[in-house]
Amino acid sequence: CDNTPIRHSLMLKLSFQEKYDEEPISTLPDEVWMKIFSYLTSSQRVPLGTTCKRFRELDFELGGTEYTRIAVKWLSRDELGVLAYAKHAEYKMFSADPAKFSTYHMMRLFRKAMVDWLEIKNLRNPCNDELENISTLLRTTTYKKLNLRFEDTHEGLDVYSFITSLLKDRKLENSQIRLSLKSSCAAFDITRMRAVLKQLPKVDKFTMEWTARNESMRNVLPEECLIDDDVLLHVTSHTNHAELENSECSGQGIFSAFEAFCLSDIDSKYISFYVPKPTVEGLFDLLPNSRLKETEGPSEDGSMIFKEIFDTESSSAVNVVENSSYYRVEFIKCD
Amino acid sequence: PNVKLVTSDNEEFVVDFRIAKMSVTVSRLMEAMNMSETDDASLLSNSIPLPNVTKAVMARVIEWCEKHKNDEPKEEKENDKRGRTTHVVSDWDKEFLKNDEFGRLCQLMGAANYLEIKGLFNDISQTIANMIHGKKSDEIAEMFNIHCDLTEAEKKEIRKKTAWCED
Repeated sequence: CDNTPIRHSLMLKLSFQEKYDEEPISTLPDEVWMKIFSYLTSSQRVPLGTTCKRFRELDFELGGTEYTRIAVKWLSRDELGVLAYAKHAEYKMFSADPAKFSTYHMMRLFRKAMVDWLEIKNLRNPCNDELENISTLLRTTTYKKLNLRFEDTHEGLDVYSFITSLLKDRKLENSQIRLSLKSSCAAFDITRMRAVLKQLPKVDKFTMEWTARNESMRNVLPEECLIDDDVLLHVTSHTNHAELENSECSGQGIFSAFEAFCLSDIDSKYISFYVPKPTVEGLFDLLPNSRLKETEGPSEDGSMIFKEIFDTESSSAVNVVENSSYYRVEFIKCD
Repeated sequence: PNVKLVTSDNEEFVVDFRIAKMSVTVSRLMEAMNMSETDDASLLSNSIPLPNVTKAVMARVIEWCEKHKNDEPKEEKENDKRGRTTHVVSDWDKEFLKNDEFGRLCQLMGAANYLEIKGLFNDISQTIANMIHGKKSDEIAEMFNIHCDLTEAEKKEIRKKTAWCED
């Protein structure tokens, strides 16, 4: 038999080993040291950072600092603050220079970090450079809970790419996410925000707050209705629990989303959103030709439920609740 | 049935087929050389070259394998909730590794890595991690015989920045 290729690769390995023969630690490749260091927590690894350059790099590569909370805040004046709280220690960084947030040291602190609660909010207008640096800083950080709130920001601010960067490339199946974008004028781009929502990865709980109105205005404006048919369907199939805002969904869109909801194999689910009365009527019109059953008219027991639609097979229901000019629609499933 | 293993310093070790199979690397080589448990001729006419392992290290590896040849295949432990791996080193293994000075431990680790013997690899990983645990950086450097390539100024700067996250 011909085993030349094997012998050849052995020779390569051999010459590799001969090259590093001075220090005992040099005899082992990086992967082996990474494996050894992975038995230690990030704080137990701190002394490795000053042992030698190689160990310092490997420690950096492993990352994995645990935080109970990380807060990113755009403070009044020009400053941006990043505050990180670990079990027995805290770290604070304030600066007016966005580049200060993506230094080697900062990147080390947040590399593959795990945080229970990540909070992001602005008390002044952020600029795009700052958003980019923060998204670089947090690129490998995973969180259990994210609260993000942007209020009254400039029109050109790219919060959409920023939010996308916080949602992608990490495991969020068990995470809770609350996004809150509020503006008294229409400063947020509804089309771009919908595109973000249509890429929402699988998460446990999702809450979307979207306000684009002056408090004094009475009528609901089109730019306030963030949720459309596609977004509803996507969010329904990617979350266990979602609380959404005003929608411009169609009766058919709601019907399709509910079908997807019924088919989902998760036992406990909840989705809520708001629609105007004509949409609700559009939904009811579709029922006679479907397998879904409905209760007659407003229920007698005086509850706010206007109508309830069932799918007995999957123990799922749609509750339609009267709520001033808009009706709240809830998809509920329980076993 | 027995298998012949030849070390870098040309020492021949004759080991039981089952022992040889504990190394993923040796297993793979035997397969590539068409050596099979049921084909005595294939075992007699071939020997496995292991140019990355010396005689002294090989003897230690075989000693470990002899002890562990009847072990149930261990399932890989899930990472704990802090994302850390944990591995329990048995008393026999602790005793086995106790007297190795660090350079020899590294050689044994290198062999376990090259031969792909998972149990031994995990044992030594955990042992070295335990050696690091709780030590200061210069203690680690001394224990591992590391020549530090960071200047005092660099060390001071790193210490200043990481001071807050030391337990």
